[in-house]
Amino acid sequence: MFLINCPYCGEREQAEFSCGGEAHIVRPKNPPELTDDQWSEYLFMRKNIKGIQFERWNHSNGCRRWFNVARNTATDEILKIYNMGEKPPNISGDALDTPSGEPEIGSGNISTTYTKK
Amino acid sequence: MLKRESVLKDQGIQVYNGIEFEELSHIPKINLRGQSDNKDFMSSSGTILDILLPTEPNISNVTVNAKVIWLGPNEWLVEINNENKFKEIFSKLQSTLNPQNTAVTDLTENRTIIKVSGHNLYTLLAKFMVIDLDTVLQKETAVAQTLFIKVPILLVRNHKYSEKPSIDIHTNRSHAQYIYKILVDGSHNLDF
Repeated sequence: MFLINCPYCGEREQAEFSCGGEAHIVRPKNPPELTDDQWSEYLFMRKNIKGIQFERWNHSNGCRRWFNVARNTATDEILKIYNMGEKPPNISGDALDTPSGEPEIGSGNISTTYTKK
Repeated sequence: MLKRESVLKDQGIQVYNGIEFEELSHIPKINLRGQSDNKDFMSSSGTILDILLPTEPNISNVTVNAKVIWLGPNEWLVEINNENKFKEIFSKLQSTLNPQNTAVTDLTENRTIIKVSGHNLYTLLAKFMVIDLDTVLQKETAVAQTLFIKVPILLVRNHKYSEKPSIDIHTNRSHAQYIYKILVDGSHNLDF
């Protein structure tokens, strides 16, 4: 469990919130013109970063408002909370070293680093 | 016509280990939605309710007839203590506010209120929720939406600083008995 500082309600436990996944994914303007690969990239492919990730969260059992969170996924440390529509803040942090040496992106799942030829 | 039934079967005030429990059933309630930066909406609803909608998070504004509770930046719960007044206010809100960007919903039968009071009330509630009641309910007009175990609830502080704690727990009718029974059970050992 960790605490999230809702911009409206203040500090509450994580159970009151719902995570809406990675933030700043823009819906393509002309979906019919996309290839299946491009469309599936938009729909399904997420970075799953080990380290600082920008996420959307909703205070579903409180004020029901959406907001963005910069969270270190390795430590659950929340570094910044900012409004929907704002650009991601320029912050960086150190990810924890992993004994098994997983990659930063798609940690534990090498297939996500696969690039199409 | 639908027969109105109290969830706790009109038991009246029950006292367990110094904690008083009472269901305030069928108190007329309206859920009001609209943008707080819309001046027309704010002034029209304020005129009809005879009270301004609170824009500060987690507080309520109270008048003789109504209590307006902040639920979100674009959502309020209006509690009206008179059935006739409720009908008048509800129809006025529906006819005056622009239905394209506002919503007026009657929640009277959907929610119920369990009023709990007693000197050990915060100790009792703290058994079942993570929220820091001393901080969150510090103001006399404080309200808080949170989870009671896993049930969404709305806490509304009733007491003044000098009085014994008294809080209204707003919940769905279907969760009321569950919450009531857990609170009664929890009130049996508050002397540790």
